[in-house]
Amino acid sequence: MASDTGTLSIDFLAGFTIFMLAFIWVATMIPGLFLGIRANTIDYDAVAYRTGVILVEDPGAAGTVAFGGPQGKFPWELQSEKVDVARFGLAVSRETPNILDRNKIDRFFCTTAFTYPDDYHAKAIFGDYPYRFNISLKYEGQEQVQSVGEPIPDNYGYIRRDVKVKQGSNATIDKAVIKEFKYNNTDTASRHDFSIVLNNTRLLYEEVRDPAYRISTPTDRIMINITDLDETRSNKNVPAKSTGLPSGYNLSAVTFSYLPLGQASRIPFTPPAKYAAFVYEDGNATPVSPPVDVRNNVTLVFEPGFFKNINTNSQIYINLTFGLRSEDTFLNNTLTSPYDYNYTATHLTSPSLHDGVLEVAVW
Amino acid sequence: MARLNDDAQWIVLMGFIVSFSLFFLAILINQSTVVGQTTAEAVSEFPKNDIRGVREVIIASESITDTTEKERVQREIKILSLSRQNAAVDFSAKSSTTHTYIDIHYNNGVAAYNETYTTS
Amino acid sequence: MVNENGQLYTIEGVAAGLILLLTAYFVVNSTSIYTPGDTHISDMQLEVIGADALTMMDTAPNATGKSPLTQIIESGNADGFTSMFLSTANATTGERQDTIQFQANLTYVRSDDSINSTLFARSARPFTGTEHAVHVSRWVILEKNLPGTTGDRHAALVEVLLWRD
Repeated sequence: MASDTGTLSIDFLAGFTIFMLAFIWVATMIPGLFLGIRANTIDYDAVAYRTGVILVEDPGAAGTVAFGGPQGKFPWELQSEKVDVARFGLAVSRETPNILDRNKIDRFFCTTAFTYPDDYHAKAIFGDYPYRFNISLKYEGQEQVQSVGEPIPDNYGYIRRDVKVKQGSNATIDKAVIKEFKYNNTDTASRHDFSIVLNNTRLLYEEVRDPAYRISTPTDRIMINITDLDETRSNKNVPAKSTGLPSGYNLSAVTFSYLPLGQASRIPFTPPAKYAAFVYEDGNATPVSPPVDVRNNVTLVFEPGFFKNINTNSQIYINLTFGLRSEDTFLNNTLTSPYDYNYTATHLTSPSLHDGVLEVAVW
Repeated sequence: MARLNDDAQWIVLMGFIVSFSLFFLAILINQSTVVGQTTAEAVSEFPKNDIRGVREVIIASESITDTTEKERVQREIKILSLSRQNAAVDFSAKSSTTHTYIDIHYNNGVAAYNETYTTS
Repeated sequence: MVNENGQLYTIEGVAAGLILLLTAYFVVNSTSIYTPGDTHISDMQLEVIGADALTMMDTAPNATGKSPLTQIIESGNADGFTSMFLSTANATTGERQDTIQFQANLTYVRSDDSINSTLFARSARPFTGTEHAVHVSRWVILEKNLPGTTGDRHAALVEVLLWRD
């Protein structure tokens, strides 16, 4: 039988101290014990919110590896290696929240370049816990939804952001333009060349400075349609026919050069090999590289990154050489001036903004 | 005389342990919803959109050419931010030959924001 | 005569009392369960959507033009505001649209420095005061003379209360 007459002894003090120390030690470990157990809506909404902000309000960042090397000056969407992408972000610039870049979106939703969930977790979601998620984007008025991730379960954290998506610019050089600028007034020309100039200083730093609206040659898609080639052609002997140009590599070469600010002569430029096919002949869906036989129309599409190696204070010259006989009157501006691709050019559509909605679900 | 009954101490001990563990679980689960609450409150309380909005309108007001109109619009911005967004907003601009520098100060008691914006 | 035995009983009693009180305190403290509504998460989401919708309406289609929001306010086009705000704020990537309702006020300063806030537009269901609404606002510079002001250019706030039906 226990004695109930004694007062507190040193035994009790020692025992109690040991107990308290052990208790405190165990208590400090309890949060770690429960790390893997989560009730619904703990921080899924917070993570969804954070991911939404990262994607919609931030332009993203290229990786630390890239910054030391030659790739460092390019934005993440132009990096070919995924290790060089540090953080996803779809905004056109830091100054323009909610205005997204079309090329960044297409690259972000490209699940062959990035794998779900590892790459997206490391570059957009962040955190130690292996969150699962679904990110989707829908353009207003279109059925198609771009998305990455798994089907959404019953309980999840959620955020929705309204966005605008910046589309690339395009120009159409048709018979009206050809007549207006006398681009087929070529009686004394020895061969048929047509040149287009993209003046970076004017496009980036003059009348339109807002990144949401400007034509950014390094990062935007630029499309040039040349139409009515046959209609505007005239042969001194044979009149123009609607059946098309005589075959034989009509567009024999497209060459590029640039004129850095303050210099007198142009420097030839070869685009990166992955962009070698950029000519769409007569409305074909797949691009080819010159030389190409064209019938009546030709479209040149310069995907984002095509001109990334050219300094942003240079003028870019695109020169199209046509292999037609010189006696034909044909698209040719060697005697006039190059077609200036700028905001006020005739038949040019400046970058436009399309409504869209982005949803992030995290669980 | 009252006497400590020391039978069945194991039952008492087990009861003790079970109640304590329940106790900790309750506290942990309780804390977990607080995480969501603090995040949501942090988002709602930090006036990100207010700061962005007032910053944009100040920059836009600076491009008004008519001096009388500019002064009136800028005075209205200060009055409206104080009365509708509970924020003291002060700004002033000085121009050099090429740029305009706008000093923007925003303070709503919780968050303060200061910036010198340079027009390009 | 004071019995010197059994002080331990007293200590035990006091300790037991303290433990009971402490337990009661913790239990009461931890059973005030937070529901998701109490955590303001849905408020935060509504606020983000409302601010985004106003930002999108205030984004001009090109570099030189006025934003649709400024045009709508200057021309007093309440229907235009309602349809544009609802279509922007309720858009989702899925089949079902959201069910956000709103009430928008235009607030500006009169020439005597008093604040005028008038109802500009609202959705089909009026605001009664019982809804759990959040508040977002957007600055605009209007090139228009407003009632009670002098001059043709004014700063104004578009203040929107929005809630889910």
